[in-house]
Amino acid sequence: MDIQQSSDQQSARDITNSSVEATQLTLSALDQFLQKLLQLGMKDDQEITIRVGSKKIYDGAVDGNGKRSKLTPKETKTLREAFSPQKNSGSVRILDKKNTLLFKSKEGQIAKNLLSHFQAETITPKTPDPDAIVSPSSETMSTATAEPESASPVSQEQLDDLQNQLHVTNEKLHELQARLDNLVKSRPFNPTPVHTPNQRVGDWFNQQRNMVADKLRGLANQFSVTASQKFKQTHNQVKQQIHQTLSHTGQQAATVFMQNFVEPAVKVVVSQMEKIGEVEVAQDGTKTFQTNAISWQITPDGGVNLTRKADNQKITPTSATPKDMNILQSFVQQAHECYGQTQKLLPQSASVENHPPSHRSQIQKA
Amino acid sequence: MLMDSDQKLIDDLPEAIRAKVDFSESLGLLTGQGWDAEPLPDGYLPEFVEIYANGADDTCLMIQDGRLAYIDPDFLGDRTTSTFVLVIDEIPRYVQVHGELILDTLGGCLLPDILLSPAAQMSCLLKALKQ
Repeated sequence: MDIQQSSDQQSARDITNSSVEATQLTLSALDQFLQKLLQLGMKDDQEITIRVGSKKIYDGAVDGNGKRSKLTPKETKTLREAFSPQKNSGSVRILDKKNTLLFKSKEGQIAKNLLSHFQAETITPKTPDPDAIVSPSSETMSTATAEPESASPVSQEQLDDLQNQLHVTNEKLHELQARLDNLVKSRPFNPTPVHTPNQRVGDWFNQQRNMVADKLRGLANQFSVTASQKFKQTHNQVKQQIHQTLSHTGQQAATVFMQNFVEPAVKVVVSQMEKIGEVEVAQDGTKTFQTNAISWQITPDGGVNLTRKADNQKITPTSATPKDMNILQSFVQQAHECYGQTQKLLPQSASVENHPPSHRSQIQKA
Repeated sequence: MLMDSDQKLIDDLPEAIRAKVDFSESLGLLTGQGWDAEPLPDGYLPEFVEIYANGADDTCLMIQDGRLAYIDPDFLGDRTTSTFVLVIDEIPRYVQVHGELILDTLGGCLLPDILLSPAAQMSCLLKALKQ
């Protein structure tokens, strides 16, 4: 109990984010430090001496071939902070074989740094890797740039790609869950007691190791379950978002199609039909031309109304069915061929719809 | 390869002790570093606790201010402690080799219960998954 209380008091002093930093500690600080020097452009075989405070901790080549001294935790910490020293950091010095000081950091300051010289000589600036990001959105952008006239904001292919990616992610998730499940059953997560001549040490060690293993087993289990739930939730959100995007895009395109193609075509056709007496003119001046499926009207103010005869409902960009769209496309096409005064229907102009993705290919084929 | 000063610490160990630890340079050095230390007083609360085990040259477990700072996932599940060294505040205080006690100057040192933050748990789990 005393030990627990003392420990709690001690840890209560600053149980902050430093615990996150602390978990990142490893004991190969010197190797990591040497690796950093290599990254900065120093050569493998360059002979150096590294000192932490007054202690020589390394004497040898940058590739790690040399005499090294065992680091205390404080020295490890100092070494790790060499390139971003804190106010209370100890000093770190790097010297070459001629005892020339190449680098020195102490108490929050880098007093000398000739390492950048190596970097300037050998390291070229990084440029973004074009292959680094592979996502449906990036494909959309590249397609749009290459073929702006034929690309819609979200295509069926892109949707398929995205769904494939979701499928792959799902498989990876299952794989991760399997690994987590195996981990829970593995030896590292199920330690057995060790015996020591000093029983107090043995008891303490076994207790602490069991506690860590218990927590990790619990976390692994929790992670396995919640990851699956979260993925399902995300999957559904993505599907819903895609559906909404496609619907919105389709409605915008359908509105443009109606305004730019259908309405001018209706006005031309009604005008021509009026000449041969095929148009009914109501008392209020509304002109109506009938075909089998649709009633085409032009109001006195120049507005165009389309009514589906089957259910007497108005056809709008938001309510048009795939069948309606087929008829409208055909109507526009025929109006252009017969009278030539309307815009020619381009293939991409016909690729409009305001329905879920499952209907899209059907419309495009039509 | 050891520094001369480190080699001297090993050389200064009693012959019988040196014979028991000479199979591992690291173990010899740790024993040498702690050999002349006086036992810790009652109620001594350590800042750093490190464990070197199974001939490892590096720490298998480190506790700082009661918090787990590092643990080697392999060590977590290892059922043997062929060698077991406890370092308190940078001084080796307990050395055990093949079940035999070589050095014990723990005295009245308190051995803290480890505090394991959620971040530390996640870090440990990810390390274990990567292996």
